[in-house]
Amino acid sequence: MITENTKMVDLVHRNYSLVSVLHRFGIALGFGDKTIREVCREKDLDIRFFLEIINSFLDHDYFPREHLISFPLQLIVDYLTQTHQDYLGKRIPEIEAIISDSENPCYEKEEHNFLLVKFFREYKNELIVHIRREDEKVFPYTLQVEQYYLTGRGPDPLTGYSIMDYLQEHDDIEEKLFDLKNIIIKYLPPPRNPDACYHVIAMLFDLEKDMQDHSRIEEKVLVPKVALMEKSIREQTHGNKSFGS
Amino acid sequence: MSQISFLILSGSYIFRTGLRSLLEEMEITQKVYLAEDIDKALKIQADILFLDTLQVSPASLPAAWTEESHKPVLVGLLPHTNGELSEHREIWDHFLDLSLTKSELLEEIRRIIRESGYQEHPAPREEKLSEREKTILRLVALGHTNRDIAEKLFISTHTVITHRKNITRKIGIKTVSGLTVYALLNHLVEMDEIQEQTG
Ligand SMILES: [Fe+2]
Ligand SMILES: [Fe+2]
Repeated sequence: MITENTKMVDLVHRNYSLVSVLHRFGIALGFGDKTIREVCREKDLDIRFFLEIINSFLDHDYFPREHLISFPLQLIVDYLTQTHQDYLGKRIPEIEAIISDSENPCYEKEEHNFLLVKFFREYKNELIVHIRREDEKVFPYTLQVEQYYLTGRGPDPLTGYSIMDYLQEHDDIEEKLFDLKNIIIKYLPPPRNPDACYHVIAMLFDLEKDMQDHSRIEEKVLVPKVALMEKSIREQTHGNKSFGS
Repeated sequence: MSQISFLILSGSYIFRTGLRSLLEEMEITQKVYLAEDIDKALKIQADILFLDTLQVSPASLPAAWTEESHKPVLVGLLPHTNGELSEHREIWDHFLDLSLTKSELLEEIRRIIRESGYQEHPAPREEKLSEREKTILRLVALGHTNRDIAEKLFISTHTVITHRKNITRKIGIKTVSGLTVYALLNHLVEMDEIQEQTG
């Protein structure tokens, strides 16, 4: 278990993938001997939230659902939004740059490189649509629900769309990565440029793991949290109205 | 049956989960059930039972576990090498000494599986696609829906879905675009056919 007394450096030694999680919290490398508490104070971060995110990332059996639900929505949404930027701004372009490098193609045959790039670009486009919907529609909606829930002010959010609709249409963005891994590992011929392929595979494994964690927060934390607020709004305002009339 | 099912009965969390992770490391198709008390255990049917000898007295074993026909294999878990088991030794088919090292434990479990008449290594998974599955995969790659395929082949949509599940299980690819790449690489369809469809 990671606690607030754990040193930042030990965190990264434990699992290097945490570097990108830290980045989402605005924490860069070079932390010397500082503990989590010290760094969180400096950066004015919610230590409890930080610890729950880190611990559930490290150990998938450790998932303090109830705890996570209790944090302010803005914290959760900020973390998810940062993660989206990491995917679209960094990880996806990195992978794409390697597989579409025509100077140093992964495979001997033109058609194999073409297939790989085509599959990946299709995936990228689907991912962009998925993330845009969340950033532009779903997350603002959830914040609106929270504002209304806490203050009773702002536009009534419950006019048709509900967080359950999001859950319904929320597709599995890791599935295609899983396929991509198998296509490279099993079905494409041995590569002309093995180093590039190893690199791509390592990045795909990391990305897939990170996305599982990400989707889990969306479906098991964000959705239930917003659903509870929707329910309470519906009971209070809408319920009263119908009683009054 | 190539799948072996195990039941681990112990009140100790450490024993249960430790033994489970050991079993799961073995390359056998299996199902592992955990129970912390005998009431829970009785609701589960399994081939090989690992029972905590501190918790289960042989005299009190349920008839279902001791009657001759369809009797499961009973393995007594011994927490210490010198565990005293003077009474009813004959009830147990095997003992597992929990103070052994990891490699010794694995070896012991393999022996128990073998001596109980179960296959230690499952038959290799059949991964070749049948002709029917290839036909369906081809149609999927060409962009047909399950409904289209069912109509074309005069089978029910349900049957198409079953075939698709089997295809995914065999080749390890889940999505339509992944299946399309597979079909192209294996020349079940050609690039120009697909472009005709989409372009
Ligand atoms: Fe997302
Ligand atoms: Fe998502």
